[in-house]
Amino acid sequence: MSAISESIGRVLRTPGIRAVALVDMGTGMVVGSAGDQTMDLMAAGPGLAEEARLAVRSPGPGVSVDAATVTTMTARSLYLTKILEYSGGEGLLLYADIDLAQTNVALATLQIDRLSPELLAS
Amino acid sequence: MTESQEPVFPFRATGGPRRMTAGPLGEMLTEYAARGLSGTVRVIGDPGGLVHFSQGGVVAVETPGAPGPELLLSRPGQISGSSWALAYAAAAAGGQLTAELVRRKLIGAARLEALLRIALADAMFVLTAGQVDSCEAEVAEPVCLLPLDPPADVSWLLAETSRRLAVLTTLPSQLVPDRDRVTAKARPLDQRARLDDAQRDVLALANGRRTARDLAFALGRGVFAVTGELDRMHAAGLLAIGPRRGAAPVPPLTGPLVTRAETAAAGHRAGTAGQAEAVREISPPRELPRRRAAGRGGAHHAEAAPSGSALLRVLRLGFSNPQPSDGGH
Amino acid sequence: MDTEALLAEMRALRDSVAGITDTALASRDGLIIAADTATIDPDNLAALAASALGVTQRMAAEAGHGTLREIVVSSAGGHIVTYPVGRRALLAVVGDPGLDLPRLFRESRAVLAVLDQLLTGAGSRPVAAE
Repeated sequence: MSAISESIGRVLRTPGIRAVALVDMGTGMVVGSAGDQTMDLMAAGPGLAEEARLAVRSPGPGVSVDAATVTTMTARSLYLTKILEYSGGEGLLLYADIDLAQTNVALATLQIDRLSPELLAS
Repeated sequence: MTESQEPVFPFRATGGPRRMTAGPLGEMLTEYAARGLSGTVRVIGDPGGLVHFSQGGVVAVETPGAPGPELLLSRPGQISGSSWALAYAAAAAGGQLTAELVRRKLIGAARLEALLRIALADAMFVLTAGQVDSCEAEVAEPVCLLPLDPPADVSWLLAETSRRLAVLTTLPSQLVPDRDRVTAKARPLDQRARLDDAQRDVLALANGRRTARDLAFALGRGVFAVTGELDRMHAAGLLAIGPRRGAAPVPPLTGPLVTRAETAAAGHRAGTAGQAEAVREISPPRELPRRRAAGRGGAHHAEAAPSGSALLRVLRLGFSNPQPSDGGH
Repeated sequence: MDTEALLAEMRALRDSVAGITDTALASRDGLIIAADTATIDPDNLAALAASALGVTQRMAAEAGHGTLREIVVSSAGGHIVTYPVGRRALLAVVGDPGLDLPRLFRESRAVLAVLDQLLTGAGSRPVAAE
């Protein structure tokens, strides 16, 4: 039904990834989400966009920053922000809530890196 | 119906012409959502616009106040003009343009849905942040070029709009997106290197004639996003805010035709807002088009609702016309 | 000719309708009278607008449509609306794609009338008592 849910929903097949959200970097608006949505995504969106913006907007002309990953970790959870695309202030990021009891940082990051290029293309 | 969980739109009393709350618009949309209706809500105001809904969900929002999805799609690096034209020719008439764009691999389905959702939310924000004089609803299958599928949930849309309006009221610069023009401040050479692309794009266009809305159109970005950008740039000392659009009040003409320059001069002489006695006549009084006050002070005549096309009923919520602008602040 | 008064009217129009980027007042022979423009070359715009007005007036006459009211040129990047002003001048209004054309038509009526008055200076001007 929703192309966004279908697309980012694929990420949920990875063990340990509990929920994902697609966030508009220009406004912090959550454009779509899938999975266990107990976290208040709407409230989280603007903060995520702000962090990602700081990470990706390196100063200087012609600097191309590849999709950056911003990560927050607690003992049991990993919150990963992956920039899927960014240009001239507008962009989309993927936010994933990961259960570290079921996976680890390396695996989760790897899997998301693998799936990311396809998420917006399909 | 449901209990009133509807988000409350803050009444923007800050800076400039008064604005109406979006409450009645929100009420209308909420009611239509509850009934699962399809149709179009025409918002008469400044900028005003159209909210298209299908089976209770919002599929598109059009307004002269925000660039629509077509403009966002034509941004450099997105879909080329010729590819667009071909897809348009093939599918627009049949209402299948979104499917055609994806089929031709001009844009991914998820990305297109994201873009449509982003454009819709921005247009809704602009509509409700602006002046709402009245709303009329027409119940019929809406016709739009790029409908969002699945449609946007009304309660989600109202909540997101409410969030944005709240952000607007707390901006340090108190920038009004469609009123405050911005001008790039001169930067010393060494500091110019520290700008990023988005800031550079804005500064190139910030010539003192453009508001956040104007820049959004010029850049192919959303108005809310650009407003935030300008606010941050102002805080960083990169931009000056002003002059404001629609700041000069013009009294409605009831007598001899006078120019704004003369009204201002007369007001200055007489120490009043240019009353009749101090004004010079240009020509003997005669019937002339009644001049409306600049900006938001003037009355907006409601457009006649299209007749004969409403299937069920036409709702009209009317509001008293706003008072003439008191000078912009 | 009071150029400042003309410009005041043109700026007020730009103030009152969002999306207007430039305006230019010109004679029917394509010479600029007053311009409120940013990066657009007012002389080029004036010449082209006058030319367009001439042609389109003949088109309207050909169709038996009477007096030409306005020309609207809509492109991917915006609109240009040209109005006759009286019999000897024209006003070209340039705007972005979001220019609200119905609103422009409403707001421009009075402005066009005032511009015409200023240009033709009809009638003597009694000095106001102070």
